[in-house]
Amino acid sequence: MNENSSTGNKPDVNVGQTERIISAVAGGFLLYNAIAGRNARFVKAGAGAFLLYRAVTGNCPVYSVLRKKRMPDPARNINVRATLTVNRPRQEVYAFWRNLTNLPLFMKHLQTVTDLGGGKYNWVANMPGLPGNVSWDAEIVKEEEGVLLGWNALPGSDIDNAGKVTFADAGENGTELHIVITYRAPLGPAGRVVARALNPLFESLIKEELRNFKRYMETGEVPTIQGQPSGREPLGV
Amino acid sequence: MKALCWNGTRNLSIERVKDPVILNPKDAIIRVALSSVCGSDLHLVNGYIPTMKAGDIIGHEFNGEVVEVGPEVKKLKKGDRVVVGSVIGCGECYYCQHDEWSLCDNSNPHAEMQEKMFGYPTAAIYGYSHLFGGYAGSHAEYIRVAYADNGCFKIPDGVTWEQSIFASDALPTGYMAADMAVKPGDIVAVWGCGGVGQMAIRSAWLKGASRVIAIDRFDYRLAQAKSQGKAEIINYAAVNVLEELKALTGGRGPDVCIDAVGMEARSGNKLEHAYDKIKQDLRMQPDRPSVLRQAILACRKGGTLSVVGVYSSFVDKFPMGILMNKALTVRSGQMHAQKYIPHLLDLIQEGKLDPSYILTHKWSLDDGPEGYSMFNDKADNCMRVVFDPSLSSY
Repeated sequence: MNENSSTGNKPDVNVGQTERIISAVAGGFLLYNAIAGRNARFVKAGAGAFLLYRAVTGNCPVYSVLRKKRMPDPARNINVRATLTVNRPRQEVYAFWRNLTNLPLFMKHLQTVTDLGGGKYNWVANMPGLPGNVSWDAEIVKEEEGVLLGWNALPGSDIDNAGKVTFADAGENGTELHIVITYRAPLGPAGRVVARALNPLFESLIKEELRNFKRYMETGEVPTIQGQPSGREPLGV
Repeated sequence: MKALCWNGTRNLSIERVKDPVILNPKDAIIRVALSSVCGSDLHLVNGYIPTMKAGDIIGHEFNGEVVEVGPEVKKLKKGDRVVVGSVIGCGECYYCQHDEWSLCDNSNPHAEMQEKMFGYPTAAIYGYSHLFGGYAGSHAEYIRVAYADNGCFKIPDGVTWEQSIFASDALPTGYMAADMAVKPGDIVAVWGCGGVGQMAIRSAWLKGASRVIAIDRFDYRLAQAKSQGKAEIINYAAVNVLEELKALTGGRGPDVCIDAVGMEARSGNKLEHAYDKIKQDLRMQPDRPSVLRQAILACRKGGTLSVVGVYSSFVDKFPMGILMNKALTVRSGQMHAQKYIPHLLDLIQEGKLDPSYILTHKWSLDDGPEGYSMFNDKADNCMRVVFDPSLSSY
């Protein structure tokens, strides 16, 4: 799922960020020197151009020949990690989570989860900052009863995402949940900029929904002050 | 209904707002009988607690009559007379089930805000800023109580509104200060002789203290500590507290030092007070720690510091080295209302405790703004102003 068709074929990135910056500065200096200076102008121009190529593309042909490993693309996947403890027995917590159509009961940004059969589910959510709803189909790809649940979004999703939740006993009566959600922004590089800007919001949204899961599992309700009186809506004395 | 709203620093007003309704299945609506000012409200009124919003209804110490219950409320019914704990506990999380109700995992809808400041969220408190949940407070005709089965306690027969009101907050806070620290035979020093300090003095005796020493600067409060609390007294504006405490304890120092003052502490040393006040007003330190500093110096080696006065976040010039080298123990916390209230109501019913003497003024809710300025200025020998929404000021 790490291929992104909209970005097309590009040379592999095998130069680190710091090295790319150094290449850019050094390449620029050599090119300037080649134009302004007198000695070895062609050598300098050639070396400068090579360094600038490395800086701009992130690809170094020499490294390719030497088979240096491809660097991970830092902007490609965005991970959200969360850990929480729910004061309920593990089997109960797992069973409630596994019944995914329960989740919109307390996850406020989740509109619906529909069971499509065969381990596939349709998810519809509204994200603050984004117009309309986003939807995706996801498939449960890993499942160990009471221990682990992993999913992958199917092709055609608004948000390409995958995730894993593990459940472990915590003390006499509690369950520890470890959650990793990975998502990839739509629309290639432009989408990445937007996604990076929205990520803190998205991360806090996911964490709030997980808090709501704990609140609902433990107390059967989600605390709220929406709808209470205040002097911000005075009725006039 | 009428409600007392916070509009900004030292700006309170009575507004007409909509009545509260049941929002969650475990909610109840209470018709407020009495609602007390609290020293910790002064931190809000004076603008030292962040995350207040103009229009917030304040007040967190109250009792009243149940008028409506949500579908999941099992123990209460319409007409019950109840006193309600200030701190909101869900009853189901690890902390509530271990009787540490003010650490509740679930009651604060703004948990994220607290996680960022405190690392982990604590319980919500009625009428006490959005950091503490943003729940509407009790200086109103009606209030919505969350997790009502856990938060409401039936007032025993024969116990009046006036006797039970302080079982909501001042009494359990003072009681917890003693319960966390005092062992039989201990000499206990209490800084602050307001409502909480008075209750801490009474509670220290209940926990077996051999002597109780009360410290304040207002003679009328010290007089109450002496007459009602049977405490020895020190006026810090008149004498050197450290020397006086040494003299009173055979040169050893008190075993337990209770801070019932908190973040707006004053110092007997004018220079120290000016230093802390200026830094606080310039927002360079949120809290003034002069009582903490003095208590750490005064406490006997290996003694216990019990902090129930409210602090918001950071203090400067905290004598950590003295605390460490003297091997002091620090106990602290917002009070675990639900843990203590049943026992305290029993003590009141049995006549072993009557906190109603700290109720010095019973006023109409319309007089809320004036009540707070009197309480803030310690005018008219005011210990506590309590609002009765059924009274009319006209």
